[in-house]
Amino acid sequence: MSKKHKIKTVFKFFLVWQEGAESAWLHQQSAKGWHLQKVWPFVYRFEKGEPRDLVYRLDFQTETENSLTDYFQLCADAGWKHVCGFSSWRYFCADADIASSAEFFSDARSQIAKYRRVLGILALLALPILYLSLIFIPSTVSEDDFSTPALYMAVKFLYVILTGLLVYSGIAIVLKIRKLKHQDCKQ
Amino acid sequence: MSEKAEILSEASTFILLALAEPLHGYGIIKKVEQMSDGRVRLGPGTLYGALTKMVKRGWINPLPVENGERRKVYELTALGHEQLQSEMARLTALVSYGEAALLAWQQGRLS
Repeated sequence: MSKKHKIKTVFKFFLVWQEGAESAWLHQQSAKGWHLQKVWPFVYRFEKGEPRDLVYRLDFQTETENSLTDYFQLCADAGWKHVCGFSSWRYFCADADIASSAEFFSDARSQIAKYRRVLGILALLALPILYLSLIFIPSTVSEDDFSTPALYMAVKFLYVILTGLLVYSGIAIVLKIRKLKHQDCKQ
Repeated sequence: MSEKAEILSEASTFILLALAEPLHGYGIIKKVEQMSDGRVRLGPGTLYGALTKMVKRGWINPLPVENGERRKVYELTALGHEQLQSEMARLTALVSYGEAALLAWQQGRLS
């Protein structure tokens, strides 16, 4: 039997607050023998192996990978393997029986703290958009200030899309934090 | 001293209590599990978030890491000790109020 290294790449659209659905989907993939290998925004690469009952969890840590050695070791000691990550997102997996006795996040408070870190980064991203708002909202500039009308339209289009996405994300994360706070009260 | 002590979460209280002796992350998880008779099992994500926060606030301190060692060992600082003491004082007060209130309630029912 030839031992072929089978790999598949899948595009899938999950947003920050849809983490639950994302983990569930990764779990289903592992059950079919497709284990997560690498992640890019909206792109997932899987490697074929034996079907396994793996649970996936995501964390958001802004430190660089090098300064997270201690963290990865701690997770490994607790049965959670660091699979991969992109930007500040970290993907971990554990066998289902380990995960059921030792969840990755053991209280709602730590998950709230995680989403607050995400909000913090989002706020930083909002700065350049705020700058663009200064340009577009008071209409101090017109098409004439851009070399071509097409460029003006492109920047304006980008502005509308980014602002929409940012506001939408901000609201969604705030709602997610609220939901977790209710959980915290029940704990 | 001047900073008002905040109310600690159960996880944070247990972490500080566990650090009566310097421990690395997984050592803390094991110790807390033992101290709580298996009731509190800290997740690594929860623990790491708490550790980073406590280092930032100066409640705990990572000891210098020896070459090739992947696990950081943490120790409690004087500030962390203070924080723990005020949390214990808060809880003790809560328990004594609670016991007095329950006693009064019981006596009210009897009379």
